Amino acid sequence: MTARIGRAASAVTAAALLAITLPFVANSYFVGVGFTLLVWLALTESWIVISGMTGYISLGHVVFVGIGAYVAALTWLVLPIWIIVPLAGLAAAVLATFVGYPCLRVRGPYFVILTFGLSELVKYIIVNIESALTVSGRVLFGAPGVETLYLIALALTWVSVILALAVRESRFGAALRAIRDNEEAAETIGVAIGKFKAAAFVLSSIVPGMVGALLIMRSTYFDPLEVFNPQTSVLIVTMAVIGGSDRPLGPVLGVAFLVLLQELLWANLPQLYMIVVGVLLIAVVVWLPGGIYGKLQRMTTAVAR
Amino acid sequence: MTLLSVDAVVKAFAGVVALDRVSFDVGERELVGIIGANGAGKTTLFSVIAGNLRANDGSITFDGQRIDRLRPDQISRRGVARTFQIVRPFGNMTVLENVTLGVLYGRRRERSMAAAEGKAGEILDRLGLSDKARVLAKHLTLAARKRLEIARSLATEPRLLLLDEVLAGLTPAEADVATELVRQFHASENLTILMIEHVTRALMALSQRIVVLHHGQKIAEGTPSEVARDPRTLSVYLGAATQ
Repeated sequence: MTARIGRAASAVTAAALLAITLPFVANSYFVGVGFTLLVWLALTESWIVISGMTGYISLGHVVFVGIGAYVAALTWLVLPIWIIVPLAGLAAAVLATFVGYPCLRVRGPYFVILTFGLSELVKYIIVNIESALTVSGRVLFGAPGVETLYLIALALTWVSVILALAVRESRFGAALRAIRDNEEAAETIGVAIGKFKAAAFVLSSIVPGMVGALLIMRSTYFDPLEVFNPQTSVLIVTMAVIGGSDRPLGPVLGVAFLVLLQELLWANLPQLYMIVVGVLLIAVVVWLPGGIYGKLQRMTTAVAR
Repeated sequence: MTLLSVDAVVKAFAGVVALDRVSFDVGERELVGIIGANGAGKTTLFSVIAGNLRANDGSITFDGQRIDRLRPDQISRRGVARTFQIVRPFGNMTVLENVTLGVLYGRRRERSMAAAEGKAGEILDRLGLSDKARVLAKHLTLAARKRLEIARSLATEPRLLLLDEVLAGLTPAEADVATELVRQFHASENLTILMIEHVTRALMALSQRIVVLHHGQKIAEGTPSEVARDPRTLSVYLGAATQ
């Protein structure tokens, strides 16, 4: 089992090392696309740790992005970047710790709606705080260029993929998958389900918090309605489902597919993007339950036979 | 020595009393059967002992300590395992992974995945499931799933095993094999077994003692032959007309 993670982790690390060269060889348009790709990959891989492993579908992961972005906006120019980014992750983890236990007591559609509602709640709390402070949007002066942000995003993506792989193959991950398959049986054979679900939830929140900090450095503008946009949560779920959320490498395909689609549609038909995403999500759920990755896996096993 | 002591346990669901002051003891290394008609409260009793449901009143003592306010995982760690009447395999995991989980999180709390898989492999061998080790649990036949249910609970290294109708739904030949397995495990491990069974033939042959439940109450208790002759048992099984 450890050999299996070893191989996948080496491949991921090799790919990451190769990706380091992009800012040195490509123009900033491509580095920008690369940044977007990495950000979505980091978010989706993090989401896998709670939702792919336990089956508790979070439709509110944008809340961690938003809280990370808010922390970064508040501490901008007060603290150096290398403190701001981890601090954003920490803030997300603290939020996840507080909301994880109560949220994870309900299953299925109730959990989905609860996470969605929670992220909207936090969004409007921050909108109100900001308007009480009579701040309407915060501009970040002196943010680093896209090349620097790309490299930080690459590091975060590497962390999130390795984390998803390690969790998947570990003793901890085995318990999470047992929870997904049958929670009552899992606790009956000795899995402390409450603790495990909460731990997975916290683990899945940290990188998104840090990603939030990067996103506002990229846009150089903090707007709560933008960083807490529920569309982000929907896209995370869609990318994971289209790629295949059961395996850590599944989302890579979904993310690549949707980000490229976005780049293609953005120029000509931006309003069509979410419609296409919705149709794709339905199509995958109906015809490709294991996602693209699951389909490829079944095809290769069929060929091997 | 008494291993499990159920004392005046009450469990009610929205006004329906599923268990009505049920009391009995199970000694160390004993094999005790529980019989009763559908709805007698047998499975509820198991759920209350294993912590899946919380009793409204009464107490449950295991190995000298109260367990009736503990969570199922805490009870499992102390050495109580149960199987589910309606089997609950981890369907998307292989048979080996299912059993490995029991070793990882049961009483042994094995830290190493490799050691846990080794131990799980041994259990599969003993239960004749080795050839299915790499099969996803959801693809098993009912007989194999029932066996997996037993394998997974044994993997937690219980001192007390609660078997909930592990023979129901099996063909007579399969049931004989399963009965023999239960007998072997009871004989070879330091294992106490409490089993619910509708297949009374098997239960009469295996049990040292039998508890009869009816409408949530214990109406009889004794050796198989005592219980079989007990007029209260007969009235439950053959209808009120014989009273």
